[in-house]
Amino acid sequence: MAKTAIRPETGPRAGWRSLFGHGVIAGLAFAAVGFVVGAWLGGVIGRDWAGVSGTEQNDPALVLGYVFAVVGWLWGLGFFRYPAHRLRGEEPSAYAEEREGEGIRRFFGVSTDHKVVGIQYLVGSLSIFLIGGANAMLIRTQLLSSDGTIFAPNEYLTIVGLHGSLMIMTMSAAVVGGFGNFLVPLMIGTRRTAFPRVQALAFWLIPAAALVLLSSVLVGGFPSGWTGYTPLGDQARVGVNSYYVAFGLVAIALTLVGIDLFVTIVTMRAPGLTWGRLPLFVWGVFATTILMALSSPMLLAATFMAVLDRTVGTVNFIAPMGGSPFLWENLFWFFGHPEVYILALPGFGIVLELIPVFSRKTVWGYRLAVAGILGVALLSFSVWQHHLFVSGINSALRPFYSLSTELISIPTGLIFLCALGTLWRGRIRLTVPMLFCLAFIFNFLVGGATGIYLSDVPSNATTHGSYFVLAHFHYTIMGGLVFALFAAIYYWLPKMTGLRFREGLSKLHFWTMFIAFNSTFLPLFAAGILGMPRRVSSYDPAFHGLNMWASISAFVLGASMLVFIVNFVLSQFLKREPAEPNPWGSRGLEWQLPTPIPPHDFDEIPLVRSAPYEYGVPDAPPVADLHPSRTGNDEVRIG
Amino acid sequence: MSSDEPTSPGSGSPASEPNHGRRIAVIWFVLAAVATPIVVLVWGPHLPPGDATLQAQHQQEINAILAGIVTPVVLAIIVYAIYTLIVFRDRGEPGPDGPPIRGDRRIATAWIVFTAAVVVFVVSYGTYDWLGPGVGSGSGQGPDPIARPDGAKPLEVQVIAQQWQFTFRYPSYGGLETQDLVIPDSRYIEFHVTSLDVIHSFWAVELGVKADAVPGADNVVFVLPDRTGPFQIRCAELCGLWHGQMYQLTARVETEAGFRTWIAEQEQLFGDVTRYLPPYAHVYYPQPEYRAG
Amino acid sequence: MVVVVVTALLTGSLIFFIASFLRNRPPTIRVTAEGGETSLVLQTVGALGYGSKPDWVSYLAQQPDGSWEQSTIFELPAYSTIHVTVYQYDSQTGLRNPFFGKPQGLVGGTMTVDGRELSVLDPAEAAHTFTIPHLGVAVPLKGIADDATNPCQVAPCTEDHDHVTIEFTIKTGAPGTFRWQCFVPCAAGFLNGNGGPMQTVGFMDGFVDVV
Repeated sequence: MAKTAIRPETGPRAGWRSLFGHGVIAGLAFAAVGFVVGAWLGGVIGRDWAGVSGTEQNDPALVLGYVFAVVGWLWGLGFFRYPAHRLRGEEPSAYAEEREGEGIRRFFGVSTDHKVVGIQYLVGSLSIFLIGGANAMLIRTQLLSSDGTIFAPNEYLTIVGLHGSLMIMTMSAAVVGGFGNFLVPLMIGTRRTAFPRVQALAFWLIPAAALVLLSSVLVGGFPSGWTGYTPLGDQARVGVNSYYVAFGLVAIALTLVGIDLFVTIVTMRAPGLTWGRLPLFVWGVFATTILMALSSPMLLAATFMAVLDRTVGTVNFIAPMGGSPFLWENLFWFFGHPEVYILALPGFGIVLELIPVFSRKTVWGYRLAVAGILGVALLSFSVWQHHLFVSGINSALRPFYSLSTELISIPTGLIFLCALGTLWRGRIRLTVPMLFCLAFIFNFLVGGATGIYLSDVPSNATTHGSYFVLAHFHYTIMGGLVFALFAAIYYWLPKMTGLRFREGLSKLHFWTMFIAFNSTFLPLFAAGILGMPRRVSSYDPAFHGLNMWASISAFVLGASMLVFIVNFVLSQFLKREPAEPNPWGSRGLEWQLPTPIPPHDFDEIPLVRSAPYEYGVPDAPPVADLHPSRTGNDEVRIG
Repeated sequence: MSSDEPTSPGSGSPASEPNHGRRIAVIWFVLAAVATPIVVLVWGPHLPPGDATLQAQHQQEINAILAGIVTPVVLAIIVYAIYTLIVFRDRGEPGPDGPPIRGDRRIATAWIVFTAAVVVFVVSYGTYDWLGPGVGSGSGQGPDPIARPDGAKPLEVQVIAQQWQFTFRYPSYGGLETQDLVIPDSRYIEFHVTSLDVIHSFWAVELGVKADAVPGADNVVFVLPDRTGPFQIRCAELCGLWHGQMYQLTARVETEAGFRTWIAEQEQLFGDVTRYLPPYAHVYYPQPEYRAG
Repeated sequence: MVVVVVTALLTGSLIFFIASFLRNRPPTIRVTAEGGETSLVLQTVGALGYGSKPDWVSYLAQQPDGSWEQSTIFELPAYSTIHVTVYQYDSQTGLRNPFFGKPQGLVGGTMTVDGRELSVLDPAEAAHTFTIPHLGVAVPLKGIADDATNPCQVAPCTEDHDHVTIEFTIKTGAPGTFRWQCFVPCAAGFLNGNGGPMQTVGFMDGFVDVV
C-alpha cells in the first residue's frame, strides 16, 4: 500500500515537551475543561426544571458535563486533527499521527499502528480488570459476615455495580480489542486494520467510560447494578447517570471495534487465505464482531432513553405515566445476551487456536468448529427473554425462548467436540497456555451445564435472581473468558514483546487461580439454589459457612492475580529474558515473523499456501510464502 | 469408537494401541452408573426447593432429571479429558507430530444427534411440566396465565411489593391488607404480584414460587401447598437500598381452620385501616406517580 | 520502570480512595437502660438547612446529654421496654400505601399523638413513619397542618416551632441488628418520592442495634 504524500508536520517533540502535544495529558486537561463547560450549560438549561430545582440533583448538568468532557478528551488526544485537516483541504498522511520511534509515548496518544493499539487495549483492560477485581474483594469482605456491617447498604450496592460494570466493559474489549487488533492483521497477512483511526477512537473511549463510571463514587454512587434496571434507575440519585453515560460510550466503542475488524477480516485477507484456511481465532473474532456491531447500538439506544428520562423528563420506563419497565428489560437484554457471547466467543477462538499447537495435531473437525462458532453467534440474538421468564412476560413466549436457549448448547457442544477431539492421539504438552485452555474447558463445562437449569422454565423459577445465576455466569465468563485471556497472554506475549515469562511463577499463577476460582464459585451454586438472592448486603445466617468459604477462596484468587502481576513485572520490566521467535513451534502466520515484529509487519504481503493447523500432515507446505516476489510465486493453490 | 487413522511410526508407545475408546467408555460407564443413580435417587428427593407444594415438587423433579442428564455428560467429558491428557502426553522424546485426524463423520453425527435429542427432551419435558401437571411450576405467568388449575376456584391473594416490604391483600375478605402472609393448605392459591414503585421479585423459597413484581403490571402465579409450615419470602430483584433486607420469615401455611382463625384476627387488627385503602385492583398507581416535590 | 511504578501507585490510590470514600457511617446513638426501661427521643425535619444536603428530609436523635445528632443508628438494650418520643416538624405528605397508617408492634397497640391515643392514622396526614420490619414495629407519624404558621426551617428544631408529638412504647428481644426505614415517599425530585434521602442511611433509613 502506497503512502500518500507526507505533509511536513511538526515532528514529534522531544523530552518533556512531548507531554504538551496531543496525548493523554492534554486529553485529561481538555476533559476537565469540557466537564466544567458542560456542567455550567446543563445548570443553565435545567435551572427551573421541577426535577432540578429544590433537589440536590442536577442530572442535565452532570450528563452534559460528561458529554463535553468526552469531547474534550477526544480533542486533547488529537482525534479532531484529521477531520480538521481534511476540511481545510489538506491531505495528511496516514502515518502523521503515528509516533514511530518514540518509545513509550506512542502508547499514550492516538496511534494507527494496530500493534500499538492492541497493547493499549491489553494494558487498559488489565488495569480496569484489577480495579474491578479489587471491588470484588470488597464485596467478599462484606459478605464474610451474614449481617454485612462493613459497608452501608448503598455503598455496597455501588461497589457491586462498579464491579459488574467495570468487568463487562473491560472484558468485552480485552480480547477482541487487544489480541484482535494486534494479531488479526498478522494472522490474515495484512499490515493494518481497515479503519485504524476508528479503532484508535474506539480504544480511547474505553478509559473515558471507565473514568466516567468511577466518578459516580463522587456523586453518590448508583444502586442499580450493572443491569441498570429502570424504574430504579429513574429513581436513583445523579450517580446513576455515570453508569448510563459510561455504558453509552462502551456501546459506541464496541460498535466501532466490531465494524472495523469485520471489514478487515472480510476484505483484507492475503491471497491464498480462503475462508477454509482462516485460523479459528480469527473466526472467533469474526463472529464476535458481528455481535458487537449489531447488538451494541441497542445498548446505546436504551441508555440514551434512560438518560432522557432522567434529564428532560420523558417517561419511557415509568409505568404510571404510560411507560413500561418491561421496555428497559427487553432493550437491555437484547444487547445483554449477545454481550455475554461477545465475552464467550473470543474465548472459544483462543482455545481452538491453542489446542492444536499443544497437541501437535490438526484441528478435529475444522468445519464443525466454524459451524459451532457461527451457530452460537447467530442463535445468541434469539434468546434474550430467558432473563425474563418470571417477570410477567406473556407466558406463551416462554417455550420458544427456552428452546432457542437450549439450542445454543448444540453449537457450543460442537466447539467442545472439536477441542476435545484435537487432543485424541496428539502429543500433548502441558505448557502454561495449554493449562489455561484446559481449565477453560472444565470451567465452561460447569458453567454450560448449569445454564441448562436456567434455560428450563420450571427450574428457572428456583434459580432466577439467586446466587446460582451468579455462579453460572462467573463460571462461563470468568472461568471461560478470563482463563482464555491468560492463556492468550502467556502464549502470545513472547511474540508481542519478545520477552519470556518466568515458568515457575506462571505455573504458580495458574494453579492458585484455578483452584481458588473453583473453590470460590462452586459453593455459591448451593447458596443460590437454597435461597440466597443476588446483590444482597446481608443474608440468612444459614449460608454463613458457604459464604465464608467463598470469601476466603476469593482472597486467594485475588492473591493469584498478584502472582501474575509480579510475574508480569519481573519478566517484562526487570529480568527481560528474550524469547525465541517461535517458542511453541506454532504454524501460525504470526509466528513466522521475526521478533520483535517490524513496524510495517510484513516486508511483502504473503501468499498463503496452507491452513495453519497442518501438524502431522505429511508433505504439508509451509503456512505461507513470506516473499512471493522473490520466489516468483503468484499462483494461489487451494487444497 | 476409534476411526481409521494411520498408526504412527515407532510402535510400542501407548498411542498405537487401538482400544483407548473402549477403555474410556468402560471407565465412564462405571462411574456414571454409580454416580447417576446416587444423584437422581438419593440426592434428588432432597434437592431444592423441596416438596412443600405441588409446584415445588415439580421443580424438584425437574432439577433431579436435569442432574441425571448433566452428571453422565459432565463425567464423560472429564473422563475423556483426563484419560487423553495422561495417555497422549508428550513424553519429551523427539518424534513426529500427531496423526492428521481431521474428523470422523460418525462421531460428529452421533454427537449432534445426541445433543439435539437432549435439547428436545429437556425443552419438551420442561414445557409439558409447567403447561400441564405443574400448573405453572411456580413461575410468574404474567396477567393472563395459560396454565391454570382446574377444579375449585383458587384463593386469590395479592402480593404488593413496595420499597422495602411485602404486604398482602385478600380480596375475598373485603380487600383486607396484612403485614404477614398466611395461606391455607390443600387449596390452590392464586398470587397476583404487583409493585407500587420499582421492580421487585416475590420469591417464596419453600413454596417454589417466584414472580417479579413490576409496577403497573399484574403477575399471576399459582401454588398448591401440600402441608403446613413456615416459609421464607425474599426479594429476588435489586430494588434499592434495602433489597438484601427485604425478606419476611413470618409467612406460613396453615390448616384451613388455622387460616380462618388467623384471618379473623387480622380483620380485628387491621379492620380500621381497610376503609382508607384504595379499592382492590390488580394494579395500583398511588401518589406520587412521578417526581415528588 | 517509571511507568509501572506510576501505574501501580495510581491504581492503588484509586482503590484506596474508592474504599475509604465509601466507608462513612453516621454516629451511633447509644441509649442505655435503667431497670429494663429507657427512652429514645427523635425528631424529623422537612429540610436539614445545613451541611451537604440542606434540602433533604432527615431524622435526628437526641444524645443522652440532650444535644441533637443527625444520625439514624440507634443502639438499644436487649430485652427492655423502650419509650420512644418523636417530635415531628415536617408537613403532611401522605402514605403511598395507606396500610401503613395502622401502627403495629407497639405495647398496648396504640400511639399517643399530641396527647390523644390513636389506633389508626388517616394516611393522608402522615409525614413519616418509623418502621422496623423485622421487629414488627410500624408507626405512622402525623405531619403538621398545611397552614402551620411557624414551621421549622433549620435542624435541629426546638419545641417553639410547629410540631406534632408522637409517643409509643416498644419492647426489644434478643440482640441483633435490625434495619429501619420510613415509608412515606417524602424525597422531593425523585421518582415516586422514594429516592435520595429515602435511600440513604443517616436520613430516612438506619439501623437499630439491639445489644
